[in-house]
Amino acid sequence: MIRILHLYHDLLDLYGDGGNLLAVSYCLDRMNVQYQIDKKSLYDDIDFMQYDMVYIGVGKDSNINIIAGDILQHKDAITEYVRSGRLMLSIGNSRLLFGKSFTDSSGHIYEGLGLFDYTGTQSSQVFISDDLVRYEDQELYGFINRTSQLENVIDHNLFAIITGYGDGNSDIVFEGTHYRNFFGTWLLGPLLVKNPGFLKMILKELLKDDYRDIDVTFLDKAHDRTIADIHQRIKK
Amino acid sequence: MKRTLAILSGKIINAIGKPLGKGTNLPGEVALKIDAALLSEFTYDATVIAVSGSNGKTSTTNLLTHILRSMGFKVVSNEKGSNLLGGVATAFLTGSDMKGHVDADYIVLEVDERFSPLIFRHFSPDYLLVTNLFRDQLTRNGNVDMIIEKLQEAIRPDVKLILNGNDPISSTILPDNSRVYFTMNRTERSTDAPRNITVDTKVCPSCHGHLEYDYYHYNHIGSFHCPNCGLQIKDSRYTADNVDFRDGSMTVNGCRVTSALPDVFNLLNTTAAIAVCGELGLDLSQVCQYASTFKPLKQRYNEYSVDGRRAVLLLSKNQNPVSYDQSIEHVCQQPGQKTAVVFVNNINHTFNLDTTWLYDISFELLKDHVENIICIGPRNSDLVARLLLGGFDEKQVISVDTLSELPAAIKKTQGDIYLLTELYDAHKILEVLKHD
Repeated sequence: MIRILHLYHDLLDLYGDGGNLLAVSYCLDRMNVQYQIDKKSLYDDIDFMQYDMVYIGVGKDSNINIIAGDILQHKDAITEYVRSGRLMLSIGNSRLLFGKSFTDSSGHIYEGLGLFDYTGTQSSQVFISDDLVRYEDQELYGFINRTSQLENVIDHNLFAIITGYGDGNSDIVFEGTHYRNFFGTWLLGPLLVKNPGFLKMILKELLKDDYRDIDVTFLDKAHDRTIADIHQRIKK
Repeated sequence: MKRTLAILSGKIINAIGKPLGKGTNLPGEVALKIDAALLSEFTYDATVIAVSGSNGKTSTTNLLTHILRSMGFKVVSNEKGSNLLGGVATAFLTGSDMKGHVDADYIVLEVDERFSPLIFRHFSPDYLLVTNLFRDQLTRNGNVDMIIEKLQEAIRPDVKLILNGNDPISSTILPDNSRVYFTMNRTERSTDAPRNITVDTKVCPSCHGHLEYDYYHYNHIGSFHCPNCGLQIKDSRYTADNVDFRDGSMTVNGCRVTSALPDVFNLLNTTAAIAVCGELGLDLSQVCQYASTFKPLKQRYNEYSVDGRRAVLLLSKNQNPVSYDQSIEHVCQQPGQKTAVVFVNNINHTFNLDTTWLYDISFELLKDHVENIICIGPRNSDLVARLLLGGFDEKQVISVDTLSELPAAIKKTQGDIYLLTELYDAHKILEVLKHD
């Protein structure tokens, strides 16, 4: 039984981000894999090590700030979880929680989980871009729409940027954080829907020998069209 | 003096623009360039009512204006939906004399909540109605917190509020202001669990505990309470009940009223307009009588005949999941066989390729209500993905890559045709369909 944790599902539910878990569920159903998605939030007891995958999404700034206080109680558990090589996907501004600290728009500093050395800032500066990035041998599309940024993302890079914004306000080389099976990115899409190759990689990590290939031609078609469109844009 | 010149210029531009059907923000914008403090210089004895909110501002403003005029009052209003600073200024200057005196009983202004600090810098409304608050067009607005901050900045503590007691977000704004609430009791379409994907209040806005509902009307609108901190609306002054969706009738505090648009969103907005009139001291049974004579502008809804089949155009703002779900709800409520045609474009105002917004929309509701969904437009393959991931049968989903192929694809389907698209793209579909 595959156990998935949707962390702070009710506070971090912005921006159609539920599509990522929808894509995972769709594939697991077709592979006839037994799975369960647990939705947990503030005030919940959580045993991280019983999960095979943790998903944490995008939310409004004030919700991230509330969570920042709550998530610290899970610091050791989450650190152990990530170090064990279990799968975790952090989309959008939930990434702020995993660095050393982040600052909100009034200057207040919140302590992070310290999994990574980066820091973050919430502001009113808007970053919007269509991103074309590379991951191993794949080209991926993602949409950046954020008013937060990260600073000092020096290592554990995830994607190589071909076009679009990165982690901060000026990076043009890398986007995202990758450590063991922790993947953190600003990219919306939803990421796993728009990039079936990346989705399959995630599922392989999740299922190991139980992974089976399934037909997701409809996802490939949407992906290929988008990649073609963005290449057209770059040429102009 | 500046004020007179500003008003004169505005009136001239309005006179020129009106027959051309040009926008009504411009006269006010020009006037404000001449006199930036213009909005503080009008004089009036009128009661000023501001109407704001995420959805339903224009229709509620129009209904309110209709009721008041029907009752014999002189009303100045920006009812064409010009709700930015320029539009508000246009309303004032077209309703005033050259000295800036506005002769009216009521000034009813639709106000874009994002610009409320700018608009109310120089004058203050007597009443503020907020129809509801949702996250809306995240690529434009940021999020609902920002809007609440704007309203906090804009609205003085002596402004009397008329708020939606079924909305945890808007009912809790501006806690220092006196307020009355309007609500709607459970209807046959109310649900125990949320019908929609987008529910902005899973957590209590006050304590962040899990918010519970006795019933939902739509999205996060319904009868809510927080078991953790006790947040609840107990004193609804204007209550809609006995809703009959067949003829669009209901009672508000016992007075019968009918709406030409018999869906829960419009009936709630009708209740809102009636609540305002109640607060103005008007007789509710008369108010409801006149509300029932209102003919709403069919801006978002148009009917055609395509190859002898009934075709309905439902316009929505793509990145507004609440508005889109309302179009979907409308389709679900119609009888008989149905085919949906859905046009999905890139983000029209920024040209981004993003389609994340599709996952905020409850397309799943259509599964058992339409025979087919035809997916068309530059991002149609992303809609196909959305529908198949959402559990639609492959046989239901038809992908059409070019507009010229659309008529042939429609011919292979049955039933009434429902066209879902943004206003921006509507003409593209209509051009290829032979329609009357």
